[in-house]
Amino acid sequence: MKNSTLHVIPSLFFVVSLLLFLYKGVEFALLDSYVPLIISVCFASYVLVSKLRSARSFHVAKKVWAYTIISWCVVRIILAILIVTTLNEAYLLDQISWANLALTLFLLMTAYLLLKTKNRT
Amino acid sequence: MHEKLFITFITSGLFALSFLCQATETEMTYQQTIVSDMSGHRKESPLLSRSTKLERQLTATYIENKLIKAGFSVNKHEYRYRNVNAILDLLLSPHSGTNVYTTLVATQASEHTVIIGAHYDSVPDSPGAGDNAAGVALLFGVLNRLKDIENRSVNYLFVFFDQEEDDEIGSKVFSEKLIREKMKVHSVHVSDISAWDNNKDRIISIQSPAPYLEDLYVRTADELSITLDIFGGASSDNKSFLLAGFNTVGVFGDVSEHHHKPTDTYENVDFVFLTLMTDLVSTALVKISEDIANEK
Repeated sequence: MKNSTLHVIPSLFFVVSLLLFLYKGVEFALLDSYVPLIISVCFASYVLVSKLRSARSFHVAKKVWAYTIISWCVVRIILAILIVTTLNEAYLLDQISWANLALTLFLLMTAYLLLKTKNRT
Repeated sequence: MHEKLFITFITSGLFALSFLCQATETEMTYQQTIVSDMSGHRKESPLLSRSTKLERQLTATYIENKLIKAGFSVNKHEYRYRNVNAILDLLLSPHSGTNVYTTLVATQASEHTVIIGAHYDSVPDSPGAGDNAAGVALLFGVLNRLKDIENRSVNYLFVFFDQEEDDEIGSKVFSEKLIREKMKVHSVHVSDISAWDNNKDRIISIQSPAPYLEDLYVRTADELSITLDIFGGASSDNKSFLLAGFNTVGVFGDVSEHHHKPTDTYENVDFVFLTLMTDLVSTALVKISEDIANEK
């Protein structure tokens, strides 16, 4: 029971993080920018295919996803520092909010949980 | 008899002059109030600058209330827009903002619309009195003058753009909206940095006017004894409309040392020059109505 709960939480975080990026993709697709949707659909497809293929490839896909979102968060943090210190642009300043900070922390937590989860095969 | 006529003439002249002075003073006071409110000059005003989303929302509401108070119906064009490139779309949220607009409908049915616009946002840490609270005040001045005209052969759409300081996003989205709605746009007149005249030469700059608009503004300036400086390029919201293929003109003052600085305050706004700009734009817009009436 304890073991399964331990695996449910990372899986839940994993699914939510994928859905967040898919939402971002759809959001921008509605604004005629399709790159975020293409990339998020590619990732989701890769995860789905690897899940169907084998537990080992699914485990690898989760690691890849973890490193991807860590990179995304790092770039966002660097950008936020640049915005505060150098780029005094109104629109960019609006990007620094508690909601965005919470999102970054959530994704970093997801990446941590995914990297910590051992392959059960 | 002659003396009586002379006194009547002088009295009438003085009355007319005092009326004109009063009218000008009233309009100037009205414009001063707008600039004061929008730039945080008035102590009660919460708007110290108009750059963050919250500040821009407050400003949009201020303009909306001002329009309602003046008896106009208000439309809000709320938008979301992609970033300048797809990589940024991956990292950032979309742009979002609100263009506020009102239409002064023609008194004689017309399918043509003249757009008159000015942006209401500012850069961070700047009160933005000259850039561009003065432009907003100019629009209100023109709007009040045009509403009193009995015969209007064209619709006038007054639009207060959001996010000019962020790559002219507000006007870009608005120009796309006009195209999508297939609105018959006669011409687009954009005002920016409307109240700076560095060397007090009273020269008004006209940027990239379409041929008809160049002729129109030259005619109007001649009539009002105003000197124009006509130059190329596109440096404000007029760029969005120029690129979208509309007949466009930018009406500007000088680029001052206060531009995008914390010193862009109420005290550095030249309200006499703003009145001159209001005269030029409103007279040009009346001429468009007359030209269209004559064509019919």
